Amino acid sequence: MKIMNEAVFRFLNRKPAKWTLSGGMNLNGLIALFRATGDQDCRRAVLDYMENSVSPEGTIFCASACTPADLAACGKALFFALDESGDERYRKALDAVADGVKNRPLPNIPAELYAVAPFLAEYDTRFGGKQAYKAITDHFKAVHQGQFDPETGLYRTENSKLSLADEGLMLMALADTAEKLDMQIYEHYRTLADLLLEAARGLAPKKTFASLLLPRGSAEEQRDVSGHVLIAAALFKGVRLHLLNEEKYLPLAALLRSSVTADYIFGFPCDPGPWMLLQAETEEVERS
Amino acid sequence: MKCLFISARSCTVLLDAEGDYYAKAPRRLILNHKELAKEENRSVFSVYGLWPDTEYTLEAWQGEEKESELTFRTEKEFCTLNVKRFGAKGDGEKDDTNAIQAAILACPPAGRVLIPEGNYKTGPLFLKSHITIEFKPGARLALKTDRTEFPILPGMTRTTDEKDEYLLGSWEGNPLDAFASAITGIDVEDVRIIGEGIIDGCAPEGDWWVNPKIKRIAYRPRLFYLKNCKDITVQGVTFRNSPAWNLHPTFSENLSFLNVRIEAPAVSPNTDGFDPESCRHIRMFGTVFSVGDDCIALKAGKIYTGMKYHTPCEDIEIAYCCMLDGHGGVTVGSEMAGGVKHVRVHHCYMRGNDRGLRIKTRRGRGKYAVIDDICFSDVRMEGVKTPLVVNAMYFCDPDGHSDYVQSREKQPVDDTTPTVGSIRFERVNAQDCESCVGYILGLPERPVKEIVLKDSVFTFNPDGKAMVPAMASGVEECKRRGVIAHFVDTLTVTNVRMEGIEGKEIDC
Repeated sequence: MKIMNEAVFRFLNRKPAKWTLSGGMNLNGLIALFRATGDQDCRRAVLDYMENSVSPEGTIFCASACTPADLAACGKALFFALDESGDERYRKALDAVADGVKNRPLPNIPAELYAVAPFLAEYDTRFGGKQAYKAITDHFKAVHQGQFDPETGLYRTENSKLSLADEGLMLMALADTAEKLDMQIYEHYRTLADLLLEAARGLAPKKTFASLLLPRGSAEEQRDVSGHVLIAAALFKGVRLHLLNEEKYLPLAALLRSSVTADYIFGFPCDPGPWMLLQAETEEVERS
Repeated sequence: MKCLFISARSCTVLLDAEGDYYAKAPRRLILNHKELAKEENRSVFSVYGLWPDTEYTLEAWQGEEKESELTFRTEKEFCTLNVKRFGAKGDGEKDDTNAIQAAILACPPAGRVLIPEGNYKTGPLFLKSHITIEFKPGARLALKTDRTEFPILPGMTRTTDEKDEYLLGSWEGNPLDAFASAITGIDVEDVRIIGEGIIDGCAPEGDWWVNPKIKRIAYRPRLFYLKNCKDITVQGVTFRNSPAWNLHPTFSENLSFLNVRIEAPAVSPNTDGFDPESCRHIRMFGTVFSVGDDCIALKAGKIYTGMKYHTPCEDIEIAYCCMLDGHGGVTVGSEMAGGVKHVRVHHCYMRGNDRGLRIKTRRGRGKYAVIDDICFSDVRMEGVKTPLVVNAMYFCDPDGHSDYVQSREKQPVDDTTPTVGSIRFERVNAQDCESCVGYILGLPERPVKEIVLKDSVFTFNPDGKAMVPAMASGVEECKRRGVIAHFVDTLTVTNVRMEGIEGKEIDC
């Protein structure tokens, strides 16, 4: 974990020229680690990064270079910055990010969906009167309708273009978005919970690291462990939120995590963001 | 005189079928030749301190004339377990939860758990089937206020095969994690809770009423909660200072509440008196309500449970009750997605409520959200600002103010469209109304099917204040108006007197 943190700190110490999807995952990984462990370095790193990114007037310096999904990916950390600092600049920046995403269709690409949907859900819960919930859950249902294969129980199939990392991102998008909804609007919360369960059920028969890879998986994909890491993190999170059965899914998540740790993580590339999310979720589950 | 309920140790009788909560005239009551009450002025009356398997004769006298006589035999009882023998102290200091719970779990069928006079500090207690719990006068359960000591009822648990669900906790019509209640019954039957004791939620001593809508660990407990229960009777007990709703039975049947008292400060948040949800065959007789929200609210799930289980709240009789100060005397909804049907409210007395009968629904509640066959009869109201409100555009939920909910234009009828069927007001005497006799707002695409007002009198307080009768967009304040109706198929007003109104009696 220390190796990963150092990599992240190097990323964060650069003046942010552009917010990106992977940068957003780094930020959210740090936030998750701070919440799980209380590590003040993680908190400080996120706050410094956001301070360097947002002017005192609330302008995001690199906004013109970013897509709405990029902005939402890192913009999720604005909620944290606002809560921790109370600085109104972050509220203005949140409004700016929200303006960029809420009046356009939600994305279908898992990495973008993972960036945008949890942001929109949290923004709507806090500031939007929860009126976007239906659109958010309808979109997830549409993605499910279009991409989920009930035969295999996976979003990622032989014929789809999704990678294993995309499968993990889809699970994370479901878990993160559900977490950001107000449960009192239960029908929408439940929709996401059911979709997450269905996706997790599809994974349950995959008992090994390798069995999650499709035969056609490219050499590059087979070396990329991000998918496994994200799936494990999503399963841990689903258990923590009581959306998934602990006895059934915790062993699978733990198996994925241990196989990645033991055999692959030091030999193959994995973005630090997913890894930090997994570390944080593992800590949370162990603590609870 | 009519016997409503007999246990081994008590009975409840209807003394005066023609009165409301109060009898037309006081009675002197004599039980087995011994004077029980000099001037009983309630229509429904309960007798305690009886001996099991014993015949009694109850006489009712008006002046020097014996009006009626009732002979009955109490039920048999197997044994009595006194909670003090299980270690309960009743000193208000020691935590008596385990002692009382042990007595309940140890009680055999047809047995009685006796709670003598004393202050029993307890956490939530769970019921067991086929027993009676009796509170002696002066017995008080004082609910602990530290939420970290409360067990939680999980809202939804997946079944092991992940194909179904098991619901336990409930909060405002949704299956959400909630603290167990002072008295909690799950899958129990044949239980009586009787006697002149008090179940005190002690909410003013804790923080239940601070930020009340925020989930802190879990949602607030109620004082009495049932899930999947049947044949339950509560007689005589006073419920006081509940953290949230007072009595909340869900998915249960054959329930009787007799001579109960439900009390909470007028400013206490969401302290509804009695909120049965998706229940059937209910009797609520001779109960006094003075609460911070609706006295009675009939419910059937918000959206999810209503649409999944479509279990209505039905076959409900509310009689000889006294509703004081609550927002609504009897409310239907707004969480009613499973439907509410066959409700009889009769011989009740309401005083100072904002609304007498209040029906709340909205677009989106769904095709099972059918409200039908609701009848108020022989009801006396004093100072009830608006006796009748039917609102099919109630602005609840995040989208409550949206065009979808509030549009006065016809929308497509589909699986989300609710229905309001027949609502009847007969022999209602309402004095000192303020806003209007009735405000009816149906849906243009599915109007309210039938409103009947018959043989009734409504008089208005000349100094009354204007108020908004229904919570829907565009409804303005009004004062001293007759019946205002929009989107109603049939409105029948027969032999109705409206005194002191301004404008037309019927404004459609």
